[in-house]
Amino acid sequence: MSYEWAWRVVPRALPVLFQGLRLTLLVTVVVIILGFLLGILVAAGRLARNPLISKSVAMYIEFFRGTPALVQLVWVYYCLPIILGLEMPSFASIVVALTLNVGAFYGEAIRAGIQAIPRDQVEAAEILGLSYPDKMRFVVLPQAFRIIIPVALSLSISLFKDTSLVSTIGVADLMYQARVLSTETYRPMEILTVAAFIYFIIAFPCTLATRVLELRLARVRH
Amino acid sequence: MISVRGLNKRFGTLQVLRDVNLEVRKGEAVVVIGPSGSGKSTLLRCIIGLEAPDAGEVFVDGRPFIRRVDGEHGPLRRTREFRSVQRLMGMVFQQFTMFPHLTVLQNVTLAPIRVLGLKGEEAAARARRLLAKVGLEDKALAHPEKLSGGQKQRASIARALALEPQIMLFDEVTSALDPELIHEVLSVMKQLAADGMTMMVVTHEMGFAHKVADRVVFMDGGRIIEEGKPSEVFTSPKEVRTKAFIDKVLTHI
Repeated sequence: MSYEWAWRVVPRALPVLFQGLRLTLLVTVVVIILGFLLGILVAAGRLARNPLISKSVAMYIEFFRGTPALVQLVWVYYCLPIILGLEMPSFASIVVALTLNVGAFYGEAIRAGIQAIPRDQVEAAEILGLSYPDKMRFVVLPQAFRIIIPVALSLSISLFKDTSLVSTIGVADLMYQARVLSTETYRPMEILTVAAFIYFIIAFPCTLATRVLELRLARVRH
Repeated sequence: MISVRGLNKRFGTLQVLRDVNLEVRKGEAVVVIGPSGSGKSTLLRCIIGLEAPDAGEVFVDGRPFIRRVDGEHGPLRRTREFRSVQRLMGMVFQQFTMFPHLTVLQNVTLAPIRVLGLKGEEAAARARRLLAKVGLEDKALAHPEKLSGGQKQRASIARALALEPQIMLFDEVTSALDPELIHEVLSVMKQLAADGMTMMVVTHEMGFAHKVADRVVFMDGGRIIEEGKPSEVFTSPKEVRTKAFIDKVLTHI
């Protein structure tokens, strides 16, 4: 028995898929920005001298890295309102859940980047009399960012694909629209293939760009 | 200029400095020699406040810089006063510590601009003068990666001098260099000593110690074993350990 592909359903599906894509991109961009800001705080907390701060931040990181993002999403969407007694619009819930998730990953990437700066660079800055903020701004962070940026970009590309999880709680992103169209047309193979193609055509050039950037940053390092 | 009193430092159970007392007078070039692990580098690092001693005091230009009573722990507090005394000293390390993302000129002007509050042109003029002094005027706009090891060390000297320190500390600055590059760095240091800079130099270059030092300090096992004029220490050491060390390094040549 052979499967007959029915690509004719695609043209009619495309406008709806693109509508979903718009939401996917919006979620991705918002979560990248908020997640990176959170990541900076997470890295600062992880590197804090106060053990209470660094230990609790470490627990947060391990919790969000060690559990499935889908569970975190469901947890924030369904359980948080019950516990806190506050209603959140679904867009807000997914932004909160995904931000908490990628914030842990960005945070670790930023911490690793900062810690990769050789100790003697920091000491040289110290004995030149630079204050702590100056030391970070002019010596540590510019070097750390060369290490952090490629990692952060590839985390962001993963995030872009992982936003498809939000379709499970009824947020009308690209994946959600693809699933709805699949049931409507009885053509999941065709529709999902097209959806995958849309994800790919955005993610792949970003991956290539990251790789080029990584090589270029590696060249100017030493 | 530098006054070290009763300095003690442990790393875990290893006692690296034992009751070190040392005076460095203004304009004096003191060269510290001794076998690896004798505490020479740690002594420099304690003097400039990169390492917290377990006990002892350091005075710089008569100002109290570090004061530790036995049993006090934790890193040194980098107060404003601490930083302003620390700034009287410049230091060059064994490892290359030029900031790789900045040009040589930016490396040299960073601290004068941010710490001394100099204007950009002022700092640049000072930097170019110092780069000329170490023979790197044509490398101002290069990134450190384009420099040889010897050039990096000379640039580091210019960077330290840009804060107009009263004392320069050199921690084995030629140890990571290819032999043919050692000379260019040592001759800059020699010039600096001739100009009357107060210097403390940790080195394995006995020729340099012999020619440039006003005083040689021999350390072993975390203690100062002997100090004196280079002619005395090298030709007629009083202590057995000094003699053994000097015999060993000089037969090498």
